Amino acid sequence: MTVNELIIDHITKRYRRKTVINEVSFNLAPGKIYGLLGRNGAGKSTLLNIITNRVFPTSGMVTMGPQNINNNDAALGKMYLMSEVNMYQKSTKVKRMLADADSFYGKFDFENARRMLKQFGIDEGARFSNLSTGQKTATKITIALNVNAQYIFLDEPTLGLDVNYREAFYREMLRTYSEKPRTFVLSTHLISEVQQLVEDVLILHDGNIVINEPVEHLLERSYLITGPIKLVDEYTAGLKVNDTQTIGNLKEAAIIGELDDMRPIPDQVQIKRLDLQRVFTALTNKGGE
Amino acid sequence: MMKLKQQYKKQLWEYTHATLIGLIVMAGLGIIQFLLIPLVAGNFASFTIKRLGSSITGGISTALSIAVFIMFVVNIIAPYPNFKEAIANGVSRWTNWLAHHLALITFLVIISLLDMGVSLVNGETVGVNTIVAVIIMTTTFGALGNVYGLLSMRGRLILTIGLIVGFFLFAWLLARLIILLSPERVVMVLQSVNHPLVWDALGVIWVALMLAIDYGCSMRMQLRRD
Repeated sequence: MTVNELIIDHITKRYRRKTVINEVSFNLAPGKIYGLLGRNGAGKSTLLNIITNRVFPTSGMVTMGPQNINNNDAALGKMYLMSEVNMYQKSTKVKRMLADADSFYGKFDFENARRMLKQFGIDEGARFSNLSTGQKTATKITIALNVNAQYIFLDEPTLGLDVNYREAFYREMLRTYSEKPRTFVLSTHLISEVQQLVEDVLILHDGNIVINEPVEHLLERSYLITGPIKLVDEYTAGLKVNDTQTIGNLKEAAIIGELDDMRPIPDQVQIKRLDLQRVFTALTNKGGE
Repeated sequence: MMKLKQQYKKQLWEYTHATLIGLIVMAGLGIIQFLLIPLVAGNFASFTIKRLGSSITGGISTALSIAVFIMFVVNIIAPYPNFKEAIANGVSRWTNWLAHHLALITFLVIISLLDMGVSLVNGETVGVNTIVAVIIMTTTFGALGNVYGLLSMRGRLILTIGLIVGFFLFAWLLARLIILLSPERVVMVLQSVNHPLVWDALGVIWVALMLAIDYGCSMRMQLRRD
């Protein structure tokens, strides 16, 4: 089966006068793991809801290859969104949720799903509303990782999960990805935990996509300059500094971009690589890019 | 096509399930009443096979009335939860709408056939008036349910109060009009338009309007923030 690229084309979403997403455009390629990062209220969930046709954009459109996804069963059948919101009625049992995933998407991996439910300590016959927050998340993860869809969106997939279950989730995700490569989009606040998992990163800030590139490339051009305030200021003069922090006489400046190779580095100044979480905070702190 | 079939089956089951629950509750209440009457009356002679037989015949009519009532309730409550479940499973709004209406038609046909059967057994004439009334009510509740589906909790509350107030205002205005025109005059006016074709046309226009509202709202339904 051919899987087309998912094209998010100039999406804007306004709620009354507030613009949540502003002219956002990017493509999602088949068979890749993306990280969708953003601060609280950045519009990540709204964006995922628009991509999966749960919410209409104010303007712009989402297409799978040449086809608009709106009211398109074939395109919608290739996407699955595990959302924070409960989409089922309160009395729904876990086994009915699995059965629905099978009947609407086909070829649901029941065997693996049952193994995962057992691992998470969830009874298939339990009512979804009676489960704890963590168990609800684990049930949704189980469905999302075993459903027959080519684009899987995971909105806060670790909500309420303890560290053991989070590790189990990451393991399961990598396992299913290696067996059946599909596109996964992870929207999460646990950036340091997913850094090793995601290939490309999308950072949503103030309604705009400020970063859309492979994690490796981003980290290669992200630097932390530390040292005495005066020397750091001298070294970074003229460079675009994304974020600064001062402790006593020491200063650290985060720069996402190229450094000037010709510029001499003072002895007391150190240059280190940033990790993804620090890049994120540098870009999304007030005064960031 | 596969999704339409699955969604149709799901919606049909929803009606059947709700009806079964309604029937079980009513049957339970009926049995209690049936057993209590002779006990309270102290006359076990009333507990006869004949009485049991007439109760069963009447019971089918009651069951059909319950099924119709439940259909109205489902139509007003279900659109938004149905939409949520459908879109969560990659079913488009159009397929969901179509499946819902196919299930509704199936349910209506079954109820109509059973109603006709009961009428024939009771030696009554089989008419279409009841089914027409049910269609008008069903489409009205369907439209209302879909409008509710678009609104927030506050919007639904405002609409409900508005509808109740509007209904009483309409009834009051009608009463004032009748008093103002004199009841004889009103009867004359009604008689002048009392032709089956007029009522049929009004019925068709109403059903078409309700279906248009139903369809329009279904196609605009989206995940609410409340």
